[in-house]
Amino acid sequence: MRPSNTRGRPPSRSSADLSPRPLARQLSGARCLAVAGGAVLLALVDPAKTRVFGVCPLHWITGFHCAGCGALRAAHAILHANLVQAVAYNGMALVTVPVILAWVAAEAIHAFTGRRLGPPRGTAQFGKILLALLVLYTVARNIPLASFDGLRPHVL
Amino acid sequence: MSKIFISYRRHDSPGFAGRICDHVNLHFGNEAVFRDVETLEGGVDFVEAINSAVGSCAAFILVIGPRWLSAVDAKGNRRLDNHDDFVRMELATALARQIRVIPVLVEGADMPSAADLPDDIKAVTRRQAIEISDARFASDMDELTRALKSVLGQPKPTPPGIPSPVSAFVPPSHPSNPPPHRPFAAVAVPNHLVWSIISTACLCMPLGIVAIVQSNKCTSALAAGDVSAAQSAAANAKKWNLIALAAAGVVWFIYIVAAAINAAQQH
Repeated sequence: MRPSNTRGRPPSRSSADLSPRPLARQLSGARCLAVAGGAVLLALVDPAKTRVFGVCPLHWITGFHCAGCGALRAAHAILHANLVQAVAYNGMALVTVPVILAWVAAEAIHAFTGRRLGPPRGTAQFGKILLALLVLYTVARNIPLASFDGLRPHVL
Repeated sequence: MSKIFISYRRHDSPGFAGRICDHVNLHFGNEAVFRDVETLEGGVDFVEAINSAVGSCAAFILVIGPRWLSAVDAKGNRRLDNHDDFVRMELATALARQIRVIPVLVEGADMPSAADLPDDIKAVTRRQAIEISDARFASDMDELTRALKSVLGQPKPTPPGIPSPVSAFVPPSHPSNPPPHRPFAAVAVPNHLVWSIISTACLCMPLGIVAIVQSNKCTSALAAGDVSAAQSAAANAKKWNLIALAAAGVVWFIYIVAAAINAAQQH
């Protein structure tokens, strides 16, 4: 019943780290282009001066400043190399933008080489720390005291 | 639709079945494999469910471990002798519907002899079996992959010159955290973390937070080797991201309508 050729054969190459589907690679490429396109749009259009990017449901309805408030304006500032203004809009951008860049890099590698990189070790811990930071940041920027004004999105 | 059905005994070789399943998924796509008829929702006729699940597959992988043949139920009766035994029903259905059955022998198990099997699955002993051992997992799996390819007619063969993941780990991609030789999980399940972050920052924080929680769950499950839990968490993360997108879209639409009405009234 058993095939004879499972013994005494040198281990052959495996392709476990390769995505065999060209469609998946094209999708990765499309995601990179989408992020690049979004970056160009954000660099050209200042979200502080227009509403074309939509309105935040939470802020519009409740007036709260969530942890994402000012993120687009911060991204615009980062794209104009103005890190101080970016932090004034949303300090979390300094944490999330590198993550997005890393992800774009991984997607680009997948698109060009077919190598599908998994999340780096430490992603699980990073995710938990990120959650805690988001919650703390949200609480802090909604404390109605003047000394916390610096945490709410503001123009320098 | 699933193209490959994996049949295994919970009390026999669930670990190996999971590894085989993950490996096959990598080669034939995440939707390729159907397993665990036992997780069906309540009220579903399982005979019908097995029939449709097995019937829709092109190949049937039968994982046979050392306890596959002799496993007994709570009353001490051999499971294979029971007409309601899931494994027997799945296998009998596959044989009756002339689906390509590939017996896979794991943990040193032997192919059962026809005399030890009930009549409706005796035919399995005439199928060519593939032996998969722990020590030679990658090369043994290649054998199985080749057999599956001959049934399914896909995917394309691996381009030469790319190192095996068993011998070489993929270099890290995280630019802010680039220590060398850090291993990654062997199975790629997208955790949608970046999408969740974008949802949180730009669309709707409360819903985005739920998505981040699910993304974290996916990452942790993958680190623990639980691919099916990782896949369901990833699906949840995707779902909450889409809900966040929809919520933001609805509010944006209402906002635009409100602004337009405002402008019209001022005229």
